Amino acid sequence: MNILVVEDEQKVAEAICSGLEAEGYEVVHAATGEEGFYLALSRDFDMLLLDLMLPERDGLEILRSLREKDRQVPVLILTARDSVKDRVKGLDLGADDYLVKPFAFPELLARIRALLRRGRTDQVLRLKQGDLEMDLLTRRVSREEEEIHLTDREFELLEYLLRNAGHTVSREMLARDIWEEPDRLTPIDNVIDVHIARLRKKVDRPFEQPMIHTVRGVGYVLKEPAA
Amino acid sequence: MSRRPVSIRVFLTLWFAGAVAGVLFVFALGTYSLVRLNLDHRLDERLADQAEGLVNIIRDNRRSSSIRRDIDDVEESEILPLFQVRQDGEEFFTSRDWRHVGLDEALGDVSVDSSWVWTSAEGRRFRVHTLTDIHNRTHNTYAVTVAEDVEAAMGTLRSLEAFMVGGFLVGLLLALAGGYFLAGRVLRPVDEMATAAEAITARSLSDRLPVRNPDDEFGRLAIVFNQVLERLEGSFEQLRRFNTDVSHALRTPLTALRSTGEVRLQEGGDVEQLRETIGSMLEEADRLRVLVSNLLALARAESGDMAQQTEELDLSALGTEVTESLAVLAEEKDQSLSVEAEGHVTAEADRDGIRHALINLVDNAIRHTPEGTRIRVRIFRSEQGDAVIEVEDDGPGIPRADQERIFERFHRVETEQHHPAGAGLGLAITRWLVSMNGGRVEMESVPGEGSTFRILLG
Repeated sequence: MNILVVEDEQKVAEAICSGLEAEGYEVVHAATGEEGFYLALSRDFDMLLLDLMLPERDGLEILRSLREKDRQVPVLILTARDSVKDRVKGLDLGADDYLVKPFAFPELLARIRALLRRGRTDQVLRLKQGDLEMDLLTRRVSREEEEIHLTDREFELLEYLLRNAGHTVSREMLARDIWEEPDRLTPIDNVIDVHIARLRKKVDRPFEQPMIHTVRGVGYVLKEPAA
Repeated sequence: MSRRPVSIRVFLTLWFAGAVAGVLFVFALGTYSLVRLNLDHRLDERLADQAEGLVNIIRDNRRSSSIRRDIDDVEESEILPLFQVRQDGEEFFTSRDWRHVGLDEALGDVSVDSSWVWTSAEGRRFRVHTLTDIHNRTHNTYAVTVAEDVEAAMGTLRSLEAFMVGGFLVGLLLALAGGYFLAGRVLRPVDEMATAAEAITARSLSDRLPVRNPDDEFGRLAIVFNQVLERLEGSFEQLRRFNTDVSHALRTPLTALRSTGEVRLQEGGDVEQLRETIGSMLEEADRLRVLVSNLLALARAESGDMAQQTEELDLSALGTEVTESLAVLAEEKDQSLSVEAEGHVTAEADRDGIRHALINLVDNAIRHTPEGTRIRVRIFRSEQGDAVIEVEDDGPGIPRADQERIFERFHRVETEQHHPAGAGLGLAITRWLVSMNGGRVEMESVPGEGSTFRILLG
């Protein structure tokens, strides 16, 4: 998978590029709009990360030109402008997703995974990580063959962690995807923490090795216990 | 630099002078006509008298010769310069001046008593009066014609005209000068206010305009202006405090971020320690993010640039949903969190906004009341018809000193317990969200007994 990152802010670009490389993506970086546009046209990428405020050629302009030339590469916009107007404009011009700075890196990774996965509908009926299993049809959860009873919210939470197993999920992602908070400002971080704590009590406490880990300052990750 | 209100002053002066000129003109015209009429009348009377006098002289004499002699005397006395007497249609006596002027041409039908005006070839105008009489002795018919130069008789009128033109001009000049002076006097307070207002800048907003007489128009203007200044000063003060608060609020997490990083860099450490430090720094970064997003949201709310989707909102359901969502927090603190709805209460409002506002209030109640307390959420319709969501707790209450300012940005109530979360923006945001939906937030609090926050939607 190769990704073109068009971003003029050097520090942000470096962080994104090395983060993506660590995840196993091949990354090409363009520091100006002109360069980004040239690269996007001349080479094939699986995905474009596009900053909006760029020197030489505006991000929205690049997007428009690309779509006019019928390039269907998925485009994820990264921007500090988060008014509804900007968002709608970006999506109207054919962006596939929109992420407002400052964003959490796990969130970026999750969006990229989602965009790259798009089109391939993998209907999963069972999620499994180590000895933790979840049946999405019967809504049964078990660890080491032992059934665990979860509330609806806890079930959704665990499903989300399992689907993103091995990847960190931020509180913002949980707030948006599980609690369906439209606004990142509503103070429900505490609520999330309490639910995670309760989930741990049921999923981790009775067993030897914990699977749900806190990544301080970022969020949570569910990992198979190291053998 | 003082700018004079020249145009208004000139405008007033011209209006004033114009009015005075109009009055003077009408008055002069009236006087002139009256005097003229009067003079005309007197001239007529005089001529009639003179003609009659001549006729009487003729009557008093028995013979034509003595008549001629007496008339000759009349001419010599120079009382009557212009006259002619005709006997039976023939010229009988003509004064020298008459002949000199050539008044014969003025004569028309002298057999009838009449009076008319004749204009000579040189343009002189004469009033002419004829009286006829039949002598009771001689039975001759005498026609006496007297005339007088109108211009000479109207001499008074000429000097009146001169006086009036002069008086008019002098009056106009006086009116102009007086008007200019008066207008300047009247406008002086405006000028002073302008000068004073110009001296007022953002730095000296505490200055006020002088109010000379609070009851006149300018006094009222100055008072209103001062009230505007008062409000401006208030908002400037707020803004200044806000800026200080923002810098302070930003500086705290920034300092933590920086010193944590610096200390770790200096001390070094193993991977686990580095992870801890980076995590701690990320937490501070997140605090900064929340703070900046909140400030941005408030700025948008204030400039009205916020997406609103108004719908028929079921407040009872919303209250239940929010309470259930936050119930876990109350459980952790062993608090009882209950919700009761009196009937089906709805309001036209933006769902996300009101939900956010309510979450803020309930979250505040849970955070600021100790363990084991009771928090009640009630949804009802007030007697005034407002849809009300009420969040009531029996916590420590809010100190009286803080009650006034609790909805201001960055205002935090100092308590013994330290609540690390929150920058003091929650209630400000709550109030904005509700007011954007045309509602208001009320607060009642008795220290030691508890607080009640109410969202009222019209």
